[in-house]
Amino acid sequence: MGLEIMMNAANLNFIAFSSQAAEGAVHPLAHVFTILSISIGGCVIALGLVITIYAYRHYGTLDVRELRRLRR
Amino acid sequence: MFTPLLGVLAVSVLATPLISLLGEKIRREGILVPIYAVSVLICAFLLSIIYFPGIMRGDIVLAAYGGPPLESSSIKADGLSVYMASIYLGICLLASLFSSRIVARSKVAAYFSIILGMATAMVGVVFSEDFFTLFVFWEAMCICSYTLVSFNKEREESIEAGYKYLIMSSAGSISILFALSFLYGLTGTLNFQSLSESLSQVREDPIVHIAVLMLLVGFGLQAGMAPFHTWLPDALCAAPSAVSAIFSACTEKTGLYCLLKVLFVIFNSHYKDWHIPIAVFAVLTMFVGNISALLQDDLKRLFAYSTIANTGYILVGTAIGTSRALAGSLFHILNHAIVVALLFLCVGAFIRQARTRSLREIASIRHTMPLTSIAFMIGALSLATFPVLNIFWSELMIVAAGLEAGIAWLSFLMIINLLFSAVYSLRIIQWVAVKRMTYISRRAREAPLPMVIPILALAFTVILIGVYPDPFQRLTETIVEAILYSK
Repeated sequence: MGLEIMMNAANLNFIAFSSQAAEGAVHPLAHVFTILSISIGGCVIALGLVITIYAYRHYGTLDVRELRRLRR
Repeated sequence: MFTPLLGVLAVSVLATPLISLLGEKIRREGILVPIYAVSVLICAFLLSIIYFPGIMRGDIVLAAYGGPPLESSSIKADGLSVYMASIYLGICLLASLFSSRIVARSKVAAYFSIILGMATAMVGVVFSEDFFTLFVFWEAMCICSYTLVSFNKEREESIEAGYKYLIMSSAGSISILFALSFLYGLTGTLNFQSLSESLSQVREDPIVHIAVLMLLVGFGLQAGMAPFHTWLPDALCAAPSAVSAIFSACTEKTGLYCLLKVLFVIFNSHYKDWHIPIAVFAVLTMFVGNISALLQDDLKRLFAYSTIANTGYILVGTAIGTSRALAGSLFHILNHAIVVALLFLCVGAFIRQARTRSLREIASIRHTMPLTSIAFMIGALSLATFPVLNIFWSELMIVAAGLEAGIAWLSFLMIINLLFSAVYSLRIIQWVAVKRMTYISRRAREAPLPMVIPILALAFTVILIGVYPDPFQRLTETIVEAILYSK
């Protein structure tokens, strides 16, 4: 969950940055891009949460340290 | 709507739920949906092949939507993009034909609509002419691939791999987004052509270098470049075999395509500064991939590592950077896509028929599954750089280009790596052909026809390109000249 939140925070941070890049006058490209990337970020987070729920069902925990049964 | 090819694909993706609904009505969902998906992909593949005569003449299809070219979202089909698109569509076609019998009936609609969506997104990535369009399609591709990795949601292995992949890859996407915002701040546009023109005037600005590095990280992550490759073996192991084939043959190559585009189209004027870092990444990738592959017993994991190594070879071509080396890289993208798809589909057949993916347990399986094993051995031989099979020619092109350009050390390191890959490929052949049979391999039976046809088709292509490499080499050379000397 911590990772999810971090990803969310990072996403928001960069979205803020990309809108800031439009200097002075309102430039439509940055805004369109920002809106789109917000929605894409939303999709990714939703999918991440789905996977997290399944991970919880399988492992019984959300501790990332527990999720390393694949190491060989 | 867009270009005909992308239009057909997009419409077909949107129509998939309807088809599955129809299938439910007439209780034939398990057959109707795969037939639909395969026929859509056949149409798309033929459409992409139709573009080729035009490419040889130098035609470019260009379409822009929504406003002046600097701010609009535009689609451009030049030689490189059509070349990549036809690789993707061909591999997706064969892989979905292969998986038509494997997927459980309850999941068949979801599976094929995601595969179609992924094919559409990948074609969209290679057809887009500005970063805005590219990023949208890129994320669509990533979302489809996260879903496909964790498709067997009952198995914890695939959930864990999907989780890992999602975290790493979305970090990569965020890094791309960050770089795009830098580029936008510098130039005020995201169109490739105008970006490259304005960036050629920007000199000695550290932000340019930061942006290139971030793009390199983001796209390289998807391509399996060495420090960022850790998700790849897990994801390829966890996904269904046909999906692993699509992954290592297409999704990764999309990352490589974007790297090529970034380095040779957008940052064309800055490429000289990036020559050495790319070479370092390439060497690291080759060594990590090959050395990890040497001792693997799990077949899927082995081929995942060899995929990483082959990404390294393609990066060597990129690092050398002459037109001949780039043509070699493009040719290697095609060859490796075919070979790795062949190998993963064979492993899929082994898994289905023998219920194992351990190399030791399928020892001498050639007696019970002759067709699959012969195709498998052809693929492994090609991976071992056996002459007159396809990978030999592209690797020869890259190595020769390195010697020509006076970067002998890079060619030398690549030859050492080719020896490594020959070692593990021959080890595979030894196990499949010579060792004593195990109980599991004695019980296995030949795979059903829909699985054998794609395997044989791919094996045939491996031999075909191996015996007649000339037309393909010429095609890649034409494409590279069009990229490098278009301005």
